[in-house]
Amino acid sequence: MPVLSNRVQCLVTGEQTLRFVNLCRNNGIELRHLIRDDNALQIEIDAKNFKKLRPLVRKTHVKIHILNRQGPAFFFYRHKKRWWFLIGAAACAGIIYVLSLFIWQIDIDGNSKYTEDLILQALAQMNVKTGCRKSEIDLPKIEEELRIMYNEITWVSASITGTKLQIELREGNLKTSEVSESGPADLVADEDAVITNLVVRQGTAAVHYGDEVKKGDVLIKGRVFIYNEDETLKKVDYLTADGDIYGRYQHIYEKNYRRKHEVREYKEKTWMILALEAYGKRIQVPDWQGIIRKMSAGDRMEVWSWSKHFRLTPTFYLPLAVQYTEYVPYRNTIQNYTDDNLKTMAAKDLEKYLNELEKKGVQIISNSVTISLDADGGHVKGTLILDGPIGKEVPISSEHMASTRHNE
Amino acid sequence: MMKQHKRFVQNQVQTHFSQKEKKKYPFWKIAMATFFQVPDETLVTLPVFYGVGRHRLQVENYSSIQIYQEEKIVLHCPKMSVMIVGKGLQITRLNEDDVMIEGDIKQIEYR
Repeated sequence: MPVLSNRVQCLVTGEQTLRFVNLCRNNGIELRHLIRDDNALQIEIDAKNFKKLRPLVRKTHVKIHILNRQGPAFFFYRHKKRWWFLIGAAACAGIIYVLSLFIWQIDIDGNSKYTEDLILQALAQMNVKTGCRKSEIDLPKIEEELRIMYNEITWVSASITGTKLQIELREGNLKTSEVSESGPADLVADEDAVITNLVVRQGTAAVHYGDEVKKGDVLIKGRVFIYNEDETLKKVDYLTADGDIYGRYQHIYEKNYRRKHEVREYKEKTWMILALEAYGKRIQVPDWQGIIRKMSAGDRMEVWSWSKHFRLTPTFYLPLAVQYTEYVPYRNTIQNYTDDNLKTMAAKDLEKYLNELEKKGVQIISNSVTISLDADGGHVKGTLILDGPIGKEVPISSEHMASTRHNE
Repeated sequence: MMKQHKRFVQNQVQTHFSQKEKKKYPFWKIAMATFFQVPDETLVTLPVFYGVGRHRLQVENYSSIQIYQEEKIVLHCPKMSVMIVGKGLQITRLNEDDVMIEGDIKQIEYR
């Protein structure tokens, strides 16, 4: 049953109501919501079938009383004298139709390197901006142009849903470890440590288990020595050293906290301004508070602003937006942390730091960090003995490689 | 005298409740349908029921409604009558092809 069908609700009374129903069925008249009440029967019927009931009513000697009439035809008939209302409804429908022909919102997804403004600028160069006609937009051309304009964009998809233009893009992955891909490299110690674990996947190990190494010492050489049968060096192959080297090392943890700190004090009354934005034009309520209010030297202001775009459906945006701006005046005051506050802050920071180390796979062997307090603030200092990965890649210089080849 | 007149007998409407019709359950047609692996309802006109839980029942291939009460609805179907017993039963749609019954259905009985 369509939602906007014209239907009549009526009451059938008489002796042969069931016969009437069966005759309706045999004549192909659909009945809905039959409610039985003694000898009466309430039915719902399509308005177009109502006239077909007359011969059946005569045959079965039942009486029909119309209880209710629903549907657009009855609605318009009932309101035929309110012509202005019908014109308004038609005008509203017309406006919605006209608005649906334009783009009122552009959404960009998946961008990290290129900002939204940059992509909107590029779209504006192609005459694609809010307020342009949907029929004038060439989606494949937008995709192609964006890929040409920005090299880092590897994939673009442009689609129109409702009055929204959706641009989804993927940017090329930036190379994270350029050193390893550019050429051969050694794995070098970045801490003074004692080796506790050694796994070499690529290269030649330069240290052994239990060795003491200094910062900058080579742990895994990024070269493989190939010897002849008479144990003379045949050649050296250069590659990127790879492996897991774990070492036990000391780390000095130090952090200072000042007792004095700035705190924002909100004492004055906040105020807000509403503005209506329609197709680039902004109508704003005058900022009387801002004009009347006297600003003194230390006064500062937090400005909170957000806008709400009107839409009929999740994708049918309208060219109307409400902007809400809230002004929150504040004054910076200097306050002192109490001893408890400082201790809590220091303990929290230390715990966070240790958790981060554990996440990186570093084992904490011992912790002798202490918190001391004085008039200025708090000082956290101590030594952590850690067991964790200690290698970092350092590229082998081309001069070094050339000299080695010369020696061969 | 009048009821025995041949013209009256000819014009008399055949009711659906005659014993003769009730006995004709088309077993052989069902057997044929089973043998040829085709749905029964394609060869034989028998009522077809589609139910949703115990609150909705759609009956296809019915002939007429014999009884319509809140607790009981009796449908006349080819070769049989079907009695639907329940609480607050209501026919929500009725047309040439099917009838939709809603309510708290407790029992469906074939007669």
